[in-house]
Amino acid sequence: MNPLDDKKLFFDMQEHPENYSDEQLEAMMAELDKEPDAEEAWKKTLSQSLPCRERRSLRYHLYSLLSLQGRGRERVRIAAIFVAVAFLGLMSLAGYRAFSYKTTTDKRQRTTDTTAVKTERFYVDVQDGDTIFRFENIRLDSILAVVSRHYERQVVFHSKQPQQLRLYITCHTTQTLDEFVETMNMFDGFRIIQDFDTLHVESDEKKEGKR
Amino acid sequence: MEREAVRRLFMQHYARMQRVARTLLYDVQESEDVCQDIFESLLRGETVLVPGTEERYLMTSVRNRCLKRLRHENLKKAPSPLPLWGSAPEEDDRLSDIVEFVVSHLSEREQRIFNLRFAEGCSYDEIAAAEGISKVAVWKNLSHAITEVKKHFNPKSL
Repeated sequence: MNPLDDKKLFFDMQEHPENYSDEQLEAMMAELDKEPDAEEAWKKTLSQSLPCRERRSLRYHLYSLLSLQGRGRERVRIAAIFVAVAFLGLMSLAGYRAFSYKTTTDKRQRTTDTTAVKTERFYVDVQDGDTIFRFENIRLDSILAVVSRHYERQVVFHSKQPQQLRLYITCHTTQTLDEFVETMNMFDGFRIIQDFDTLHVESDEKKEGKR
Repeated sequence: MEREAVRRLFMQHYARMQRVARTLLYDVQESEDVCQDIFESLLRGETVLVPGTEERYLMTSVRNRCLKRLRHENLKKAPSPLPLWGSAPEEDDRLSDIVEFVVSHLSEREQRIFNLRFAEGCSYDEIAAAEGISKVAVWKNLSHAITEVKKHFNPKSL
C-alpha cells in the first residue's frame, strides 16, 4: 500500500469508524501513538538542513499527485495534458520575444530571432521517484511560475527584462532550492536572490555593463 | 536560544508535538519535518520564547504548520481532518470560531477529548485513562467531534 492509500485509510477511519473493527481502529491508534525516538529525531534536526526537508516535502507532494490510483490517476493525466496544451497555447500567443537582453546589434538580433522561432516545449518526466521538468525555449517567468510553486515560494520580478528571457533548462525535483537558484544564476541577464519565502529576480545589470 | 535549552524543550515536548502532527497529517515523515522546522527556527534564533509560554507556543506552532500543509494539499483535493481556510490572517479567527463551536455544540466529553488530542497532544492511552473509557470509544468520540466540526464549517468536504 502506498503512503497515499494509508493516508486515505486514516481519514476514512476517522470519518467512518463504524466501517472498521475495533482491532483495526486499535492498530491505527497504536501506529499513530508509536513513541518517537526523541534522541534520534534531535540528531536529525541538527544534521538535516531546511532545504533537505523542503525537498522531501516537494517529493511527497509530487508523489501524492502522481500516485493516484485508477480513475483519479487518469483524471490527473488528462488534466495534465490539458494544462500542457493550454500552457503551450498561451506561450504561443504570448509571442516570440527571445533573449532581448543580448540584442545590442542587428546581427545579434537576427540570431535571437532565429532562436525564438524554435518550438517551445515543456516536458515532465518521472524516473525512480525523481520528477524532471524540461523547459525548452520557455520564458523565465513561466519557468519560475512552475518551479516556485513546487518550492512554495513567491516570485517577484524587479525588472521586466528578465521575464521575457527564454531558456533551455532541466530541473530535478531532487534538487534543493539552493541548487536550483545556483544553476539559474549561471545564466546571464538576470540574478535570482532568495529572501525567506520569496525569490527576487533582478536584471543582471553589472554583467550587462561589462560587456 | 541556546542549543541546550532548545534540546531540553525538544526532549520534553517532541512526542506530544508528533502526536498532534500525526493526528492532522498522518504521514510520519511530514510530521517529523514539521516539528524539526519549529526547533530549527528556535536554534537559529529566529524565534524568542517568553518563559512560561514554551509549551503553548510549540503546540500552537505545530498545529498551525500542519494546517498550512493541509491547506496546500487541499488544493489537490486531498482529505483533511479539520476544515481548512484560505489565508493566514484569517486563521486565528477561524480557529477561535472552531473552539467556540466545540464548546457550544459538542458534549463535555467530546470537548475534553478534542482538547486533549489536538491541543495537549495526549496519546489515546492517556485520554482513555483520563476519561475512564476504552481507546476505541476515544476514537469514536473524536471522530464524531471532527465530523461535527467539518459539517458546520466545511459541509462540502463531507
